[in-house]
Amino acid sequence: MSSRREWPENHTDVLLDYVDEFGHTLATPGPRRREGYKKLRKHLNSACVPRPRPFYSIEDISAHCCFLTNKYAVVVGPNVKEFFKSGRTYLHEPFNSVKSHVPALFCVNDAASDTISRNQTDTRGSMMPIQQTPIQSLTPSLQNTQSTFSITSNQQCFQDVRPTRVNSWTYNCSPCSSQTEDSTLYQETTGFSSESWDELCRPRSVQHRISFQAIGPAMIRLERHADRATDSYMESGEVSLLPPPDAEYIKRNHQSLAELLASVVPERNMAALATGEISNVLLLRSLIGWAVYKWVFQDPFPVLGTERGGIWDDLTEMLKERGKLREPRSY
Amino acid sequence: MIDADFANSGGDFVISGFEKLRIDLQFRLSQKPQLLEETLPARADQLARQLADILEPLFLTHDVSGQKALLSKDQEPRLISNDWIPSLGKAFLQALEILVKLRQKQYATEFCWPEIGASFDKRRMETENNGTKLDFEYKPVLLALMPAAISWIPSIEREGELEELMYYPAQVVLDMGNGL
Repeated sequence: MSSRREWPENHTDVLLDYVDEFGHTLATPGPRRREGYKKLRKHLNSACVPRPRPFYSIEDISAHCCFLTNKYAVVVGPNVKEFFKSGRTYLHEPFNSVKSHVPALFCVNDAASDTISRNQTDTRGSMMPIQQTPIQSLTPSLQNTQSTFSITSNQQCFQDVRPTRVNSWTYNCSPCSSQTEDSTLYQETTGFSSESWDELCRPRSVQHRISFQAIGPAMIRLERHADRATDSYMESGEVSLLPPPDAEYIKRNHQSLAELLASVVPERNMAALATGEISNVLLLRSLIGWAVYKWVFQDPFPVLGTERGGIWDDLTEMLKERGKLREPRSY
Repeated sequence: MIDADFANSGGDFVISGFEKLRIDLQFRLSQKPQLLEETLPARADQLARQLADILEPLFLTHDVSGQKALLSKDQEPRLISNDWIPSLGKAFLQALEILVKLRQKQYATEFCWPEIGASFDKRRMETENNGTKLDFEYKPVLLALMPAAISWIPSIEREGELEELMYYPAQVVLDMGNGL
């Protein structure tokens, strides 16, 4: 027996089959759910070899497996009951903890399940590379550990233990996964916050990670790109050769630009544009910086954007052409 | 079909097909990093064009045959460069790449845009004004150029508290006069 524990070859497929068969019934208590748990227990007990400990009871399984309604997410991990107890907040902490502490399987509708199955098939017969399988890539720290199901109960990670900040300041701050109107919409319509989806949507690859030391230089490169963009604004000459913008004219005729302008230069400072205290170059750089901040750093879906059209249509078409997108079925 | 709304069996929520596609695509992108190679430049280009469109009338001052045009102070007509949009796209691409990489980190990174009029904070801001740090003290922010990038990580010394980890200070221009 290998000392290195592997995710059982057919584990994902069986779980997905299980979800296909029983997923929609698990939200409702009753005999079918009980039957489902029994089957899953049997599978888990046979699949996890050597297992840390058997799954003894339905309650035991229910404490380790969480099936959210409608197959939107399946989480396999310890103490999932804690997820439910904390209501919506479970969506933040558990996903984080799942990432770092326990094996997890996420299914986001049928198409995504298909992705997982395909990945599993691709790597069958060999150790699954950490970057190619959703399960292990979600749990990089487990790749070389002694247990596939790490049942080291870590209660803390399932509670909202976010500490209070010290030295808070008065800036307009936004985390990468900020709570905006769009994410509120998600909460209202699906019961999930966009933060949880955001968590799901991270490319879980070590090669995409950035070190602490590299963040500053990366931001400096961004700053330089903004400088170059400012420099290349005009075909000949410099932006400073142009007269300052006419704020009143802009306000009357170009609403989008007026709003953007007001974001970086408040009404009380508008006079600084006319007097040249705020130069054209600095103004242009500020507008670029604000757009990057607002449209990338503050957007809950920065990669695809929240607006329809454009890249969304391109991507949809691309995936359709490749046969990678199919209409999810209703449950 | 894509736009068709559907309800789950319990009627707990309604989610549009488009939203499902978005979630599905986001998920796919997470599992297929190579898709990011196609998606990020396309998204950067989209954002660059969007910004360029909005900024187009910023410096328009002169009518030529009924059209607004750039006119420099020396009365020479100027054109907006063709390099402008791709160059802008590079800035957005860099920002998107930073964001994707930052999302792999355990602690969230926050981006902060300084409030105009706030006093200069030498720890969290850098200024493009000439002068010594002493000159900048208490001077109000006139314009912000780049947001700060910060993380809050659990404090080792004080349990239950977070400490600020400054990666990149906000770039600002200060009002060095007596205020506006």
